[in-house]
Amino acid sequence: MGLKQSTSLRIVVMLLGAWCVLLLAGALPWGGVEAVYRGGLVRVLGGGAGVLCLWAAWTMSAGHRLRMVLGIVLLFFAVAGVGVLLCYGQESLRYADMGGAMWFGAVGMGCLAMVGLLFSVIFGYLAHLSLRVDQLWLAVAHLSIAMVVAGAFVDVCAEQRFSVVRYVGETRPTQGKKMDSPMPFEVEVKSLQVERHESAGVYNLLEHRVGRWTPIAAAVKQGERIRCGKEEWNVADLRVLPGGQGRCFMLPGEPVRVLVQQSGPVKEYRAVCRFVPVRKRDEEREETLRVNEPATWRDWRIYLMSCSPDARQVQLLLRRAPGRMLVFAGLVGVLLCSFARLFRNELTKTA
Amino acid sequence: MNALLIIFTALSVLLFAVSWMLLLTSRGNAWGVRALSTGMASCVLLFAANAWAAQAPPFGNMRHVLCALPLLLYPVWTYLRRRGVQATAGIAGVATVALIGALCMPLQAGWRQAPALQSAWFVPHVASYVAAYAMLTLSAVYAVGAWGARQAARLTSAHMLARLAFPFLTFGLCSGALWADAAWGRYWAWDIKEAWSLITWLIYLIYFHMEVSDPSARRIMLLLGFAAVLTTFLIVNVAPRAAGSLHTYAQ
Repeated sequence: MGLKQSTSLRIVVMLLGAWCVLLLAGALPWGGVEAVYRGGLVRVLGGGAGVLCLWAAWTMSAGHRLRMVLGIVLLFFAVAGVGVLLCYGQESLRYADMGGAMWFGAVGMGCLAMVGLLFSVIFGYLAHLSLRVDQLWLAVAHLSIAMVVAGAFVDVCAEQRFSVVRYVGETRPTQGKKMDSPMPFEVEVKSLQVERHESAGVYNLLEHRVGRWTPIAAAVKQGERIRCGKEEWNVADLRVLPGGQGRCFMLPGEPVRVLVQQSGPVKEYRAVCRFVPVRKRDEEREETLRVNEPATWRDWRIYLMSCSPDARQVQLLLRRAPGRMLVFAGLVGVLLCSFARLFRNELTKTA
Repeated sequence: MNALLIIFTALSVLLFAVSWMLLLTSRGNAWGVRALSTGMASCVLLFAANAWAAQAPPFGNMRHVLCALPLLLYPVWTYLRRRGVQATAGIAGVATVALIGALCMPLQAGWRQAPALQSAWFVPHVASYVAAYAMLTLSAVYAVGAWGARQAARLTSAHMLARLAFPFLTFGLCSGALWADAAWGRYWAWDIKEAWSLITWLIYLIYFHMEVSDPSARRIMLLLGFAAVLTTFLIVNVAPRAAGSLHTYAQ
């Protein structure tokens, strides 16, 4: 058995080493060949790693497989409890923020969040009891990695993604659209809000030359003064130029030069989008997209990727990834198992 | 504000350096621990000043991360003391080097959180990586210092620290994938930073699978892992390929 285990471990180490070498070939900071990642060898090695992980999970759980399955089911409920806690907790805070009668809703949502917490504590403890046999957490971790690999393979084969650019306010006809279109709906961007951070106190000095304003130098605000080379002005002496959106300032006694405050970097942008299905128009709906908060339309996810500097154009990503949930389940499993193992093996020990 | 940031960083460096020097001499132990604790307090102020200047959790660039690193070493220090491992001098040394690095970097006081960074994953993702890197640095320090009579004890401490760091490294990797799925529409993009973080994770995974008993092999693996950590954290950011990276705001 000892020899068998060491041989299998040797194979695992060789496979991981091969993965490392391939990744290095692609990721060398100078002269790395990124195409390696899209090559077949990476996929073959990934597949091999997935199979080895499955085999390791099978071997490690020998004699306790039923316990392992039960533990995984209980873990699922515990994670679902955390999901309920986060979802309803967030809603509760949102309702509480509205104030007034919404406080009742906030309390209700808060109670649901507490039920989620209770769920995760109870099922988490039961999962801990079920998986406390030595090596079982490790077996679940290997199974989770196999799930990540399987999900990634499903996505490599079946993922669909389209990048589309839409003008704000543009309406798109959906009637008579061919049904072989990859997307069963059309997206329109109704409005776009761009919020900016405060400017860091940088100005452009503009001079009126031959009928147009031309930038001639940059100026920086230091305390209550604005400096530009050898020149400097008191902020209190500047007058706001009418029609300049509060960012253009007239210099005292100088009709041909103005200071324009540079706008700060983008803080956030939100796009209100309308999804119009090609077939059932009554299912039309509106969603507000933010970066990090994609919308979901059946099994499609719609992401706000970027917007043009003039805030008139939006780039969206439409994606359908059937293996995504499998990958996520695997990632959550790996996370839980690594911390559970740490807790069992390291943190509960005393000096 | 810029002056305040520099003063707090310099003060923390000074306190950690004094602590390090005192701890390296056999008599200055109690004063060394006091200087380290004061350095940690100064680091809390530096962290708060960074947060005030950035108007966001200060984990946005390398200087922010290096300033937060000593703070994340504090729980490690407490844990190691509970386990009876003397790591105070090592922690003071790592904190000093990290903050000297922070002093050498541009202040970037005008740094503002980009839309993609405004996520619930931002703090846990970066903090877990910083905690893992702090522990792995300490582990490498132990591995380097594992010679002569103290070899076995120091290698055991290095191994323990690597084991402690690995779940945090895993958390960073997995939370990064979950965040990328929401922000970039894909959970893995083979970005150079992602590839190197996976390489780092794989090297430590190999180390744990190898069941190494030979001290020099163990030391080599730990140092190899640390080299990968350094590449992921520092070298990748200055490489020409980093210009096209999705992680450019981490520089």
